[in-house]
Amino acid sequence: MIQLRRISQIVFLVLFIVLLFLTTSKAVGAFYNADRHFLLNWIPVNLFFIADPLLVLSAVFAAKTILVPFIAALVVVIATVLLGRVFCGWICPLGSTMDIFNRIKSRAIDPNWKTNNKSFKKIKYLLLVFILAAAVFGANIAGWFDPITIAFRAFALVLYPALDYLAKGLFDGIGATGLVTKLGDWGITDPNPLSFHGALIFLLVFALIIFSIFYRTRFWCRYICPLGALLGILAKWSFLKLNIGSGCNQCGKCQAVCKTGCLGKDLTLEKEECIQCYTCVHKCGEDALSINFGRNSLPADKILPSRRGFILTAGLSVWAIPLLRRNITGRRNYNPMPRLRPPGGLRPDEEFIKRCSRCGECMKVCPTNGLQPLLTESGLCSMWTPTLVPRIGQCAYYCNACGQVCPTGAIKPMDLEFKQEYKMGLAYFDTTRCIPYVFKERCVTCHEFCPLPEKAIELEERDGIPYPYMVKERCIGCGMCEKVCPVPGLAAIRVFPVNENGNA
Amino acid sequence: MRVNRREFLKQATIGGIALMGTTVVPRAFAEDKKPKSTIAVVEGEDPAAMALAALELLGGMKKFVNKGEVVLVKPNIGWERTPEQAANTNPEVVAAIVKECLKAGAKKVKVLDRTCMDPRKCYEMTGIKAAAEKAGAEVILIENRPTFYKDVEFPEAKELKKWPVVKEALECDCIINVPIAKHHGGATLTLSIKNLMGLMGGKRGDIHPKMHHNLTDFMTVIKPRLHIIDAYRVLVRNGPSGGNLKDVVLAKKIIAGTDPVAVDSYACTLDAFKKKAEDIIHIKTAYERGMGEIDLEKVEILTKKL
Repeated sequence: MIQLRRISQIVFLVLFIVLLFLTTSKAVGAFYNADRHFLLNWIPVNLFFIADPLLVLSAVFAAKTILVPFIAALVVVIATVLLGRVFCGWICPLGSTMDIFNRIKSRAIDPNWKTNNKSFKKIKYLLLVFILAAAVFGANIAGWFDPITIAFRAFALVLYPALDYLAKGLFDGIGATGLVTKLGDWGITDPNPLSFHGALIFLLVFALIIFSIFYRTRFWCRYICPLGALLGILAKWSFLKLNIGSGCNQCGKCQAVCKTGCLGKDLTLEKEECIQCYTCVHKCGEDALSINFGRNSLPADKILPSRRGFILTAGLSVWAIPLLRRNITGRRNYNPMPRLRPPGGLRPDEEFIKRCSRCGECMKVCPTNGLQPLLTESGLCSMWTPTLVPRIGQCAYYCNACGQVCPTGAIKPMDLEFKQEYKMGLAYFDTTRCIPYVFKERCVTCHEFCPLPEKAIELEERDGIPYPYMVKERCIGCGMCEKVCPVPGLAAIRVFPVNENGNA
Repeated sequence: MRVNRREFLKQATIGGIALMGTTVVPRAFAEDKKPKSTIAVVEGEDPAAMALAALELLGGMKKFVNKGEVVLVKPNIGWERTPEQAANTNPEVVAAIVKECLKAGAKKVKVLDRTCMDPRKCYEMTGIKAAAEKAGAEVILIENRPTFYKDVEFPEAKELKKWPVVKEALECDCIINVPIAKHHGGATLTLSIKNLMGLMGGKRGDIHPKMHHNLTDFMTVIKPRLHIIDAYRVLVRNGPSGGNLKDVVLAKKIIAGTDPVAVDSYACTLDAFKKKAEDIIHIKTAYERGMGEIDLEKVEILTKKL
């Protein structure tokens, strides 16, 4: 069975990475000119996110709606009630990555296994309560702690761009530019020199989680993972469980090898903690252990925090409102460069923040690299939500991919025709920087590039020099003009968000 | 074999100069300095047939393409637009020219453009990739990575002293420029001279201020042997990107010639534009720098109606 588990882990990790590569709008082919990207339409590239009960629950609580696709997550919930935390042991890509690194650990057995640190295990349950309660109070922060989003952000926003950069550099260096072009045609390498704002943080968080296994196996899963906590509560009643038969000689090997330290000193079982990894079953010299649907034969060890702990944490979560949601940048016109959301992002911005699970799918799929993670510039609550930075990349006129991959509907899916008329912002000229206004020289780059059939930028000729101005009603705020403005640094035309009625 | 110091220095100097030579003066596209420019203007219904007829008027493709040469056909593939929207060269014209080049004995025909928008999307949507590949050309995608460009110095430059240029344009034997005639916000009209910007690398926005100097400086080094302007469908407003069928007019003409100023000058006078080349600053600058004849009175115009 342990072999089967490893195969399952590899299969799901590969699936995770394959879906990551399929989360693209850049490949050439049948799906490229279609109204809806063929791949995105038929393959649920966001499968891991829609199947993540924590993200779904948090978004549901925060947005007070059940519109998010929850069927896949329901499957995971039901599977956990039937089979225990198989998601953690057999599927979770972060867990699998940890297990891969576990194999290069010099000592297979944790020397500290006897100190169980039971009280620290309660942290994850309290964190879960905090996240869900904060969600009820309108702060959807599950995405900061969710293992799937942590893995995706690290893989898609740091490791993939790094590999992409290395591969292009290497192949260009040996003169195989044609190969890079071919890989690009398939959407494997990226047309942009990909990079994401503050992406190093994703790598640091990921690396910290991975390398914590050198202190203790599955450290993250034992003490912190809120998704693990949620599944653990469900696994309390699971039918499939670890059982002991005759033949046990009390050698204690099972306790030493357990990945999550769920076996107590007197062979008690913390059922919520067991991830059905079969390591103990495999290592037991007497074949005394098995995982089956039989009656509980191991005395249960209490691990869940007390009711008082739960209630206290939930109560304390009320602080999430002032700490997370209130922020000075939310004041009208405080922020000199307010965030521009992806096209179809819910409005007002509060609604977007409540729904967004910060997974990074939209940033991965964006063809221009314009969608970037916010740090704290728009308040703590907006951290790692997407923002369009036109100076890096405009919202491509022939693309509606972000709405198609968003797992929670924070970005509404829109047909291309609709999206091409969707007002996501409004561009303003800065005539203190605009070349014709400042130097009286010809420059109409913004007008040239405006993708709209009825150009939003018109020209007024004075003394033989065309001066551009904006036709407010036509501009959709895609940021093409800001992107191409030849003025160095701060562009002479900049896009600002508009309200839910499309007004500035 | 031992190489002494003197021998080494001598060889190195010669080699160095030779290398510099390849950078500064790419393999020449020496233009015949004819006393009088000749252009061909063909009117008709079928763009491909018109292109062929124009070539025939000028004496056939064999006059421009020698056997065994590597030919670069440079259409306008700049924008994510369909052929009907007339922001890019007509794919039928490109295909016809590619076939003619191959028929004339070209070893290889390459088709490329440095696009304004996402290159893959542009190559697809314009239909040029499919058409040119079907005609037997090698379609090369040009991206923004440095591997596609080479820094070139322009010794006769007024503004553009040094700029990255698409490598393929320096390495080929012959360039055939195949622009589309259309309105252009910055340059008034974009014709053969402006189309050459698609062989420049670097930040395109920096070219736009003082574009007339930048373009003519560029032409001191990059000298296509032939310019074929596709004026079948033309964009009369909201160029160069267009996108509105209301702005497209059927002019049904193809203008070809070796003199970029003369073909541009003629294209300006098309009924769809009704402009004078003297009013278009980059064409006028090219004329003033002796790159061709702007006065149509002094140009021999061969016409044909299909």
